[in-house]
Amino acid sequence: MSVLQVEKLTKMYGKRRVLHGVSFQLAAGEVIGLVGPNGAGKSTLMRSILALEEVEEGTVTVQGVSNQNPEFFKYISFLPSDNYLYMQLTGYDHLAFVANVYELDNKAIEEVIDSIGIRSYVNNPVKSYSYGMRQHLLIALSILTKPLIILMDEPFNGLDPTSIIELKQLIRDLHAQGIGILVSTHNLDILEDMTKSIWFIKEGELIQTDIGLQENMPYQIDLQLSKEQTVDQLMAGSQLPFQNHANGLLTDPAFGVELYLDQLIKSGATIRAVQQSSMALEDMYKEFYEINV
Amino acid sequence: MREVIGFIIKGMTKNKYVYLLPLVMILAAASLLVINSAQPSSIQKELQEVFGGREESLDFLIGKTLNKKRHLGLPENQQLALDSLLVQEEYVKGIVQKLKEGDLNIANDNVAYIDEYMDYQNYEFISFENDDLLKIEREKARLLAVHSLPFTEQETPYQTALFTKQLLHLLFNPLTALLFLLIFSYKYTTDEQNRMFDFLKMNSLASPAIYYGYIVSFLMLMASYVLFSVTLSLLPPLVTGNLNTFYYPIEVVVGGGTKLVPVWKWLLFLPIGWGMFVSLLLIVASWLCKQRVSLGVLAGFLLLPLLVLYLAADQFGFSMANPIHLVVGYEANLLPSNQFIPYLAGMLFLVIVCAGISYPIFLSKRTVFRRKGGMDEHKPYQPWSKLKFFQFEHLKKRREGRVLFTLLLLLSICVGASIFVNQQYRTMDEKAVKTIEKLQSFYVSSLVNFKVLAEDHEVGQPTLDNPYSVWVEKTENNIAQLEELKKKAGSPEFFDRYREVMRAIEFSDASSYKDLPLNLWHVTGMATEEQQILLEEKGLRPWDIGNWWVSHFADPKRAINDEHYELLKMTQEKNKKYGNSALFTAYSYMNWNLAWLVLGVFVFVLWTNMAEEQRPNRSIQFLATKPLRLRSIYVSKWAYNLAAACLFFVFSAMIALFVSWLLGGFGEADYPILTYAVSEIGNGEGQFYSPADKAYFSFDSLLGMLLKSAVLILAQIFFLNSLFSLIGRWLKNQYVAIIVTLIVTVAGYLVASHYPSGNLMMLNPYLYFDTWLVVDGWKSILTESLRVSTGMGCLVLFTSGLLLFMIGLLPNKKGVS
Repeated sequence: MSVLQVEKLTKMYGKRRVLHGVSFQLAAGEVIGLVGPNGAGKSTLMRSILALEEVEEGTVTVQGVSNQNPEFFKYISFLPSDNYLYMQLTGYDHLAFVANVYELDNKAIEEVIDSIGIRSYVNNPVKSYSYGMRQHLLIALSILTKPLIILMDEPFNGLDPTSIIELKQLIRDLHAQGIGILVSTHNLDILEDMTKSIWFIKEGELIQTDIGLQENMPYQIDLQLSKEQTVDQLMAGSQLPFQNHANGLLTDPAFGVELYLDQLIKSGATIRAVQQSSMALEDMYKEFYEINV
Repeated sequence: MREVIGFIIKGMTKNKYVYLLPLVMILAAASLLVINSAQPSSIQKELQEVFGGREESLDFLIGKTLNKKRHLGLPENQQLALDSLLVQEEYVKGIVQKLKEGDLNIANDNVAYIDEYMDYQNYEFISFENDDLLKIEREKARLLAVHSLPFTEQETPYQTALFTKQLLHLLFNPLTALLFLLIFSYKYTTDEQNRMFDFLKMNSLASPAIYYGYIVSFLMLMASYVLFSVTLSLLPPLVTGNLNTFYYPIEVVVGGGTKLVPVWKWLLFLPIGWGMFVSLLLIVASWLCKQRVSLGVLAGFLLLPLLVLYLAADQFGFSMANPIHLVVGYEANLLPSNQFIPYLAGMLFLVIVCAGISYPIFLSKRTVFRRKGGMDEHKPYQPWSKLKFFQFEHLKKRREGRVLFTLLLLLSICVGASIFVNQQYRTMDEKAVKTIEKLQSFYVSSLVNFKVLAEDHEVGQPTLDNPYSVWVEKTENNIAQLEELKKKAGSPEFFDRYREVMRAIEFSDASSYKDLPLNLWHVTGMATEEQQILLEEKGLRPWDIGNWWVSHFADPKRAINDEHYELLKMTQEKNKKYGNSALFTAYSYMNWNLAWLVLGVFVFVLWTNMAEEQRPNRSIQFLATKPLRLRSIYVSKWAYNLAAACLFFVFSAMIALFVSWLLGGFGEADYPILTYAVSEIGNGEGQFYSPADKAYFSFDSLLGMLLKSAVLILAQIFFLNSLFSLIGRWLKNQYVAIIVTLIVTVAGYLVASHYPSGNLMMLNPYLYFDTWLVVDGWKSILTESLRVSTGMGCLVLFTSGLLLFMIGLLPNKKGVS
């Protein structure tokens, strides 16, 4: 069931259209990766959802509550890419203030401090924090209120490998708890590791896709070859184009996989496995944004 | 210890602000130099006036005596006197000529003239100089002659050692000492938070070595400041080759007499005394810092003893054991004699003793005043269920240290004002003696004319009553009375006697203003008399020292020409009021409009607005992504500014009043203060009309007026806060918001000042920022409108403030994006 509903969101910066009638829904427990080059509008989309940007057109609701209503933020939280913390305050001050606004008790604060592992420095002023420590605090703040949806804008920036692993695990945990997450990052490997649902943003439009469900991808056929057999020999009787691949071959997407299987059976090959190749996120990215390297 | 010193000094030299300080000092010195050099020479003008007067007296006396000689002949002593007068005239003419040419090298001629005048007095002819003043003048001229010095600028010097003295006063005063203490405390706290002391301990350094190294580093920094200041201040006399001006004699009033003290004593005492004072402060501060006290406790522990020392000096006079004289009250007590040498030696001993006492303190591991949780942990934030945003604003300011800083700043302003008022009160003797001497000189020079006229009358009409001899007698009597009075300077009954004598002299022939023609019924004269009646009725002692209550109509700013200006200025100075009670201090505070400074502190240091949420971090997004309305934040900030300003203002005012009360008691709540009105108020009861100034006036009680002023200041705070909050709502930078608020305020005030009687000007809130002038009704005279009053001021300020606040409540989404 969709929790966050975005309808026809349009945002202009002067004459430049950054978001062009973007519409989507985000369900509970769904993790979506938002991808796009710098300036594509990822942050603008998130900020527009949160009403931090004035939009030309469109509506945003969570559980039917509009983003123009302060109640909206009872269901959604935000982990920004830039630092919006008060440098003179301690981490605990921030947590206590947010808990006070959301009328949460001290126990909730203590839990989140332990779960994010910020106890050792939570009573120090934010100005003394490293970048990673600040990110941890921001994460703690974003989950303290137990929201239905979390928008994370570049949450992995500046984190050390340990913290990246911990954050990935945290996102998986949140996902397991049924929290919907929209996460933007430039780190495709991390994203690939966490979700198969990737949304590309290009020229103000949002293209929703899943890794591995693309058409026209070749099939990989693994064979049990004897000492005398070669793939070339087995395929010699047909005109089908193919590529050698380990102990098997890759088909040409222009021809059906069945034709290859028929030929191989006819030639007396033992077929071990057949699977369609999935395109790596990086390749998808290259193809989507027409990058030729 | 050497390693620690090296480490600390290296850290200091890497701080760019350390290099900013000399630049600021150079800029300040250069500005003072330029300002002083641009001023016209007041000493030349003063000398021209003195010797011009002497020339006139001599010419008159010689003319009359020659006339007498021509017609009647002269007895031998008078002939000798005439010869002497002619010699004196020669000297004076020579001096006047030199002065006209701008040559102030007249010391030798001056000595010669005075010696000739002293001889002249032996002939028992008409005297025309004040003997006491002449003795001082001779001594000064003699000293100048000995060191081949010309008379030089004392008020605005720029190329002599007097400039050095002036600059050293600016650089070495209690305020700069406290600034040094503040820097030390702040640096220490920061270093402790950064675990610098732990780092040094980890490097196997002993505790005393670390702390001694730390304090010595700061003392070295202070010594560098002293050295740099002294070098900078000495540059003008060094470059211009005026080194001998170190011997220039300065007049210092001690009791009823005047002593001449060479400038070098100040140049020696100021840096050494200040250096020792700061050393003592820093050493004691390091003890307290070692005890890990907070900045507030440190300020309290240090400032309170200083206040006690000041009070002791104020109440019991000078004491060789009181270190406060290193920076306060040293001029009359230490410099005229060479007592400053044993005093400085004693204080050096005290510094050494304190440094010695430091050893066990630095060695000890135990802390007596340790704060719970240590220095690196903050007092935990325990949110309130109500007024949560209000509390959050306070938390942000508290964590930045701005609350404490504002409080210290306000206390410094208010308590500083109390001490300043008291200091002025304590120099009243000096002011009174100067006034007496000026008046004596005036009478002595008038005496010449009366004596000559009396003698002429005696010769011409010997049988008739001689009216001039009455004048001579009266003038001589006045001079004698003043002389007697001067001898009483410093005694407890001096000021009562001063008032009596001055009254007797000034009002000897004058009756009530009611006997004068109506066109001479000026507010000053009328108010003085009416106030006197009220004071007598109430049994109150008039404020020292003058007899006149100078009204705003007699303000030198309203002079029509230079002479008029001089006259009004002299009257104002002669009648300036002094006191040191709590209420008098509050009266001075209002008169100087110190509330502006307080408002400035609020705007620059304490107050917050929405622009503060935009930079340096976009914390506005932190708030905007929470289930709360930004309007609540705006209201909370506005309310916090208002509450904090009012509380801090009242608190610091209370402390200042308490200090003033300790110094001079509470004061006279019922003291009648002159108030003005452009037209009759009500049935005109208690009001007087001055036909000369075309204004009404009456009297209001001091306490009543102070309370009205306090209410008006609260209204100003309300208005300014609303304006500041609204500007902050529209702008995205706190500093820009401060500057815009400042520009709007200055512009509004200038418009109100330049066009006070313009149409609807009474609706300009800035018209009511001259608190005391509104309360005493002077603004109603300037605006020619009776409606301009305290009540209207409060109404306009509160209404316009409320309006600005309401505008800020209108939706403004742009504030977030």
